[in-house]
Order: sequence, then structure tokens, then C-alpha cells
Amino acid sequence: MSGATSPHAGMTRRNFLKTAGVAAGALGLAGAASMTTADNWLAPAEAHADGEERVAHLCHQFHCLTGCNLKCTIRDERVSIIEPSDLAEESHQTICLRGIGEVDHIYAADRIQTPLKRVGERGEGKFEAISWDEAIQTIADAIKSAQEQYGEGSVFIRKSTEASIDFDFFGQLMKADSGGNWGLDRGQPNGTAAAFGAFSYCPNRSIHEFSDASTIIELGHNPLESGIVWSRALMDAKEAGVYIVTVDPRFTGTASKSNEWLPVLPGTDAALIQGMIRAIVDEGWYDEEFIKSKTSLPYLVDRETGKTYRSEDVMCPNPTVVGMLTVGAPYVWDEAEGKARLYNEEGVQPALEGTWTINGKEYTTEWTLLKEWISEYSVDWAAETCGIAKETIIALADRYANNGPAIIDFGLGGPDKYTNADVLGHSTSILVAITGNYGRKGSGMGFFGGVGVDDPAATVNYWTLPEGYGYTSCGTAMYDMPYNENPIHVALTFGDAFTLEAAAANDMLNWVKSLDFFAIIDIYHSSAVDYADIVLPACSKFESEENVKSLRASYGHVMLANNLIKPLFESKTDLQIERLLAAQWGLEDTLPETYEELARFMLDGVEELDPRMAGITYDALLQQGGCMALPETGPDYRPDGTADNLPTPSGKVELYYEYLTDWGHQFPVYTDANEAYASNPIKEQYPLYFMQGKSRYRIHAYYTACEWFQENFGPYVNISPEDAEARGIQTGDTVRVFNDRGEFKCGVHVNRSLQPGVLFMAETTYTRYYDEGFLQNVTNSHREDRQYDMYFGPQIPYNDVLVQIEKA
Amino acid sequence: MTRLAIAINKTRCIGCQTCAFACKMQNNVPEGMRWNRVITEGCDVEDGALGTYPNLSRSYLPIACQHCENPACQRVCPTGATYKDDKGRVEIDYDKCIGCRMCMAACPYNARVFNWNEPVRKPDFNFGDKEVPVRPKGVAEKCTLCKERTDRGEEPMCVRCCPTKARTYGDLDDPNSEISKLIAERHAYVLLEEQGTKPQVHYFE
Ligand code: SF4
Ligand code: SF4
Repeated sequence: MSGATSPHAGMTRRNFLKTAGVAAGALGLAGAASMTTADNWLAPAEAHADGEERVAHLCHQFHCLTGCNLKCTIRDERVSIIEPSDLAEESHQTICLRGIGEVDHIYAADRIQTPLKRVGERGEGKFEAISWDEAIQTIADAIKSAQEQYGEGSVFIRKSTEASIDFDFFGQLMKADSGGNWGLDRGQPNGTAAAFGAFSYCPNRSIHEFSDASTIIELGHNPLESGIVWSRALMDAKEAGVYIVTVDPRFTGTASKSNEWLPVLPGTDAALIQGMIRAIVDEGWYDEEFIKSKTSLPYLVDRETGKTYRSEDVMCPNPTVVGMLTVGAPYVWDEAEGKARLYNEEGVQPALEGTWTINGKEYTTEWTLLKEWISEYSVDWAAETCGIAKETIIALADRYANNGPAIIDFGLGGPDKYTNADVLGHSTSILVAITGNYGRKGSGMGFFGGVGVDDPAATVNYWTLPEGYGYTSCGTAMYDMPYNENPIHVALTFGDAFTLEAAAANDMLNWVKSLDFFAIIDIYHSSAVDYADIVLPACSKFESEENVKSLRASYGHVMLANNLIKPLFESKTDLQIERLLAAQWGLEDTLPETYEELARFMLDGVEELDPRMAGITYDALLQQGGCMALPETGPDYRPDGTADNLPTPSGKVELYYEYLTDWGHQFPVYTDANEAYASNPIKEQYPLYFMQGKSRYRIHAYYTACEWFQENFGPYVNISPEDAEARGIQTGDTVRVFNDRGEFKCGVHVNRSLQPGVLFMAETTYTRYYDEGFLQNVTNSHREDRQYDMYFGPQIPYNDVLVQIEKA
Repeated sequence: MTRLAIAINKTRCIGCQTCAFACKMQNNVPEGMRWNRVITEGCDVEDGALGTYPNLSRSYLPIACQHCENPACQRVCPTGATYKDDKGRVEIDYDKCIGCRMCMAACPYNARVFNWNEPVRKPDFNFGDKEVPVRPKGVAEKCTLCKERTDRGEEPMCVRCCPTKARTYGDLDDPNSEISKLIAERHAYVLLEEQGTKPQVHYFE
């Protein structure tokens, strides 16, 4: 092999040395001055080889959308090794660094060890240890007094993304407000819901069909860092020669593995898609057969009112997805008989284009209207708006339409977190439908990896509370509580909801400070803990008072956590904490007494409901170590999702959004993002786009506490060399990032992967690890009014943000 | 003869660092040390890139002991603490190591780390495989090719845990092993071939 042409020609000894240290970049971490330090709480284990060992199994994370079964070796009652489970079906014996890092994370210094009571100001983080009795009593007193004074609706209880969310009993027992719309991850789904069905962001074909595609477009999705284990399917596709295109302002890991990287300007992805639609319509690259047989585009629309011509007697097969109204079956123009007939009548041959007068009204087809809509968007406009060359857009359209089957895999971070994400979702739906890239092998659209049909699903029973208990809602979502009048006086969260599930943190935390009382139940000293009056220590999923813990249906398996370690310090399981709280109202008997009771209940009689569950009983599961595969689980599982009988009113792909007529969005009108757009005048002051996204070292803020990861990673913002140089910023500096909403200080990496003009930071890290503040201080809390009419409501536009940065 | 080794498919490697932490866990590696690192080639920040926007490239390179056939470290070790074992692995006899660090200077792959102080572990107990010896202050250490696991007939922990199956473990002396076939078919290469160390760890695209 010749050194000059070898792929590692750039490797010199110096290179190795340069990158030798564990911490390749500055960590810039403030020392974790925790009052809950775990330092030396365990005496070092002595004789290594004599320790007694046993093995535990459990389902790990579900927020990576994987839920691997993990095998834990427990020695001297300490979790010493975590590795892929040999109980899982072979192709499902997986793990990622986040599973392995638990060996440290379980014992991390940031663990909350005892119940705490605030002694300083809210936000100051000064606490003293108290007993469980006192803590539970204080929480119950606060809730009761609010309920008496202001009514049941004054209590807010929410389980955040990071607490154990196996169940959610206590909030319902209190008839508390759970904060309504989450506003997370449903930006594009707002735009795809009416077309393909509300949950069409969950693909109806397996991710393992990636290898059967000719082209995959990764639209703002970076599975290489988010759903790590799922990227195996993408790497299989890559090795099979599938052409991969990544659309992302940032040169992500996924982009680096792609044949083509299209660095769109932030928040302009919809322009790229609309440019592709225009090219496809102009060039006639659409799939007429699919359009006629599988979509709503032949339906007749009244030109004047914009309303679809519908039967008054014959109803659509499905209630409408968006309005929950029963609508009449639509008419098409039947070319065979030369008259309007119901779209699903026997032998009907729908015309795609034309204008007809029926009963004195002028009708045309959705397809004609679509062509009129897209005629307003030229490819030149698209190129200028999204920053991708015209020829590139046309070539991608050609490839996508003519070199199928093709898949669009869209992320639920990235472009989803701008106020125009619904426009993007709707545009993508049109692109997919007019090219027929849906419902056949190697095609599809959605967020691939874990939410779709990648694995067979199990059937389990769900524990229900007695009649009359349930969450309530004051009509204001949690994210809007700082801005809208609301009845909330007391809050209790399991895990950090306030800093993770809202932008513009100064507004949110000021509102939290204004509450009469706030208690948090958390495993770690997360960002919200400092604002709480009472803190309760929950244990990790590796700990339980009993032999078993959560029963989960995940990753094509039924998994029962078992043989775990006892709760560390004074922590307790979620179930026992919920029971202690419920007991203050005498309601503990509405809950299972133990995880065993819950698990037995969940599996009791499921075989009668679903024969596939035959043999998967509580006892069988335990006997087998706590992990059993469903019968179909395996490397060849490929559900046959089609484009027929979709959960839309007519069962076809419905691309004309009549329900958005008041907004003029029957077709997706291109709309700039709220803040992040090129001509925004505030760019004079705040010239840089600020994006956040996933890191392999986190699931949201979770794993901040892992000391192993802290050696590699901490809160730092990434900046392009151009932007850094203009500001005299170097890797290792401390920087201040700011806008009118707030500021924060942290470390910085000068990184070529950044598009000039764009900053990127991984979400997120407990605030104490920043030099000051944290990233949510600068993010945008705007709500797009149009989205109040959409299935998932307005979403939090975390990425729709402009800032300035300077050396601190 | 047996020459145990690993081949790494760089096309499949996504730089996820799982192998680096799998190694740290299995081998009870103290704070501030790694036997296995995943570097972003040519970059001073993790997940950096080479080139000029928008013509960028990035590759990840997992590096640990290359288990050389002609180990530079062994040649300079004055006590014979570093040795080539009968399965073709480069190993260290910690009892014989006098902490002179000649091996560290000699290794072109920077594979070795040193216990300058009393090793600190987080969490503060001996985690990992119970067969793995606990190293004292003053000795060098590095990837053992998971000696304890491979002696039991298991694959190294980094191979077991790699989410994309980028790593293949096996015997180079067995022409029918998967690793031997991959090396032949995929035109695998070694790092710093010009050093003459003859690494057994191979890479391919
Ligand atoms: S975090 Fe990693 S190990 Fe845990 S379930 Fe997800 S993919 Fe598996
Ligand atoms: S675990 Fe596999 S994919 Fe991840 S960095 Fe290591 S070799 Fe690469």
C-alpha cells in the first residue's frame, strides 16, 4: 500500500498525540459543588476476584426510542458490568454508550440522596436534608391547602421526559392539571397529520427497508447521535450502495456518512421541498397512476368557496382526522360517464385536470389547484431561499422522483423546531404523494427508528384508576403558563419539566418562582431542582425495593426488570413515592402495592386478547431472566405498510387542507420562520442562528451526571472558524451567548462542521455545569397561531432563534 | 499459531464512542485514562471536520493497542514486562513493570497510559470484569484485547457492544475466519505501516 494514496495518509504520529488526551476539547466545567456529593460513600471494594456476582436484566431507555434489554453483572451489590442482553433475539442484542455509562451514572455525585427542603432563595440551590415523613407531609399540606383555597385546578402535576413514566397515577388522583399540549416533536407531524393520518410520522414500514431503497433523504435527522443503535440500518443501506442525502445546516455525523450534504439555511427546509415539487410538476416526473388512485388530488373543489364537493348522504369512511367532524364523501369527475361521481364508486375513472360547471357552480380538481399553488414558487426562488443551488434541487427532485423507491426520514429535532415546521410537513406530504413514494417496499416517509413498525408490538393491560379520577386542564399549556393567566398555585413534577419542556427559561423560571409551592421528584440534581421547595430522591431504573421492577413492551420483546440492586441512599422507586403521596388522601389502595402486582396485572389474560402473547406470562418471564421476544421478532420482520385505507376521512392521502381555509393554507404557503430568517432586521443586532440538537452523550439533559461522559463532553457552543475569527474566539475560551431574552456563558469549540452564521449546541446539560445561565435562556417562546387549529397544536420553536456571541 | 486481532470497518464506524466506554467499563480503567479512544481524524475537536465549508469531510478512527507482530514497545521494555503471548496478543506483566515508560515513548500509536498516581475510579469501586487485575500506581497499561474475555472464548467487549457492527474479531492465522476474509476482500490496511510494527489490528473502508 502506498502511503501517499492510503486513506490514512494524513495520520502522522503527531496527529495521534495531538488528539491523545481523553478530553479532546476544553470541558469548561464548573466543579459540581454538590451538597449531595457521593464521593467516598462506598468504601472501595477490595479483593476484586472474590466478589459474589449475580445477573440482572432490564429494559433500558425509551427516549432513544430503542429500549435495549441490558444484562447487568452485579458484584458485591454494585452494578459492575452492563452489556447487551443475551436473552434478546440475536439481532436485538444491542447497547450504546449511554447504556454502558450507567455503571458510573448510577453512582454519580449528582444523585439526590435524601429528601431536601429549601433553605435559601428559590434558584439559589441551598437545601437541608429532611425526613421522608416531613417531605411527604409538606407536599400534601401544600396541595391540600391550594385545593381548599383555589380548587382542584390549582394543582399542576407532570411527569417529564426523564422521570420513569411507566405510570402516572398520582396526578390523576389529584385531578391535577398536567399542562396540556407538550409542544414537542410534532412540528412536521402537524403538517403530515391531515394528509397521511395523525400518526403518520411513525412510518408504516420498517427502518430495515432502508437497504431496499435507491435513495434516502435524511431531512434534518441525525440518527447517528440520537437513536445510535438505529443507525445500523442506515449503515447497512450505505454498504448496500443506497444513495443518501442529508439536509441539515450542520455537517452532522449523518451528513458525513452521506453521498451528498445539502446545508440549507436554518428554517428554510420547506423551500427546498417546494422547489423539488415545482421541478417535478414542471418536468412531469410525478406518478399519475398513484395520484389518481391513492390521493385526494382528483377530488372536486368549488373554485369560489374553496370547499370540496361532497355528498350530503354518503359519509366518508373515517371521521376527519383534524376536525373530528363526519364529512361527506367527495366527488370526482368521472371521465367514463362524463359526470361527477363519488370518489369510491365502482368503475369510476377520475379526471385529474379540468373545470366543470355543476348546478351553476364552477368546480376544478385539487390537482389543478395544486399546480396553481406551486406555480407561485419557482426553483430559483427556492434556491435563493434555502441556499441550495437550483441545479442541485432539480437533480435531487429527479433522483427522488425517478430513481425510487425513495425514503424521506425526517428528524423531530432540527427543522421541526421552527414555527414553519407545519409548512414543511405539508410540503413533504405532497412531495411523497405525487411521486408515489409510499406504501411499497423501500419507500416511505416519517421519523424512522423506533416509533414506527420496526418491531412487533406486544399487548399488555393498562392499570386503571377508579372512575372519576383523571387529569384536568385549564386550557393553557404548561409552556404558556408564564404568559397566560392561569389558576396554578402549586406544582409537583417528576423529573425536570420546567427547563426541558419550555423555551425562554427566564420567563418560565420567573413563573415557577411566583408559585406558592413547587416540589420535584428526581434522581439527579437537575436544572429545575434548585427552584424547588421540596426535593424527593427517586432511584434509578437499576434499583428497586423488590426483586422486580418495570414491565416494558419494547424493541419486539416483553421485558421485566429483575434481580436489581436496592435503592441507593434514601431514594425510593416512583411507585413507592406515588403510594406515599396517595396515602395522604387514603388513596394508596387504588395503586398497585408492588411492581410485581403491576407486572402480573399487565400480563394477566393477555393471551386471550392476543394469541401472539401465548406463553409470555409473569412466571415464564422471570424464569427466563426477564426478556421474551414476540413470535415475529427477528432480522426479517418487515410489515407491509400500504397507501390504502389510510386513517384520513376518505382513506386516501388528502393533500388539500380545506380545514385551513381561514389561514389560506389549503396548500402549504411558504412562511418564514418566526425569528430565524435571512431578512430579519434584528439580525443587525443578533446576526447568528442558534440551533440545538442531540448529542450521543445525552438524552435531553439525562447523563449530564455521568462522570465518564464529563471527561469527553460538557456544555459548549460550536462556531464556524469564520465567525470565531471575526470575534477573536478560540477553542477553549469562555463565551457569552445572548439576545433580548437572556444570556448564558459556557465553553466553545471552533468547528468547521458549522455553516458560517450558525451556532450549534447540544441540548442540554444541568445548569450548574455552565459558567453562567444555560442555553434555554435565549430560546424562542413564540406560538404560531395557525397551529392552534392543527392536530398537535403550536410547538416550541427551540431552533427559531437569533443571537450574538462574544468572548466572555 | 494464533494471531488474535480486530478489523474495523471505518465506513460503518459512526464515532459513537460506545467501544471506548465498553473498554473502560470492562477493564476497570481509572479516571482520566482510556485504553481505547475514538478520534475525529485530523481535528482538535470531537465531531470536527476537514476542508472548507461546504466541502467538508469527517472520519472517525477508533484507536487502541494495535497488537503488533513486531511491537515497538516490547523491543524497548527493559524487564520483559511487555510480551507477545501465545495467542498473538501484546500483554503486560504488571508485576514486572518498573514504570520506566520506555514503551510509551516507543509506541507510535500512543496506545499506552500510565498510572502516575494512585488510580482514582469513578464510581469508586472496582467495576468491570472480576478477572481483570487491578493495576497499582507506577505501571503502564493498555488494551489487552480483553485478555480475560478472549481467554474464555468470548469476543472483546468493544466488539460485543459496537452498535453498528463495525468491529470484527478473530484469528488472522485462520484463513477461513471472518476477519481474514474481510481483510482480503475489503483491502484492509494497517496504521503507520512505514513504522514496521506490523499491526494486527486492521482497518478498511
Ligand atoms: S440508551 Fe443506548 S443502550 Fe440504552 S436503550 Fe437506548 S440505545 Fe439501548
Ligand atoms: S462502537 Fe463501533 S461505531 Fe461506535 S465508535 Fe466504536 S467502532 Fe465506531
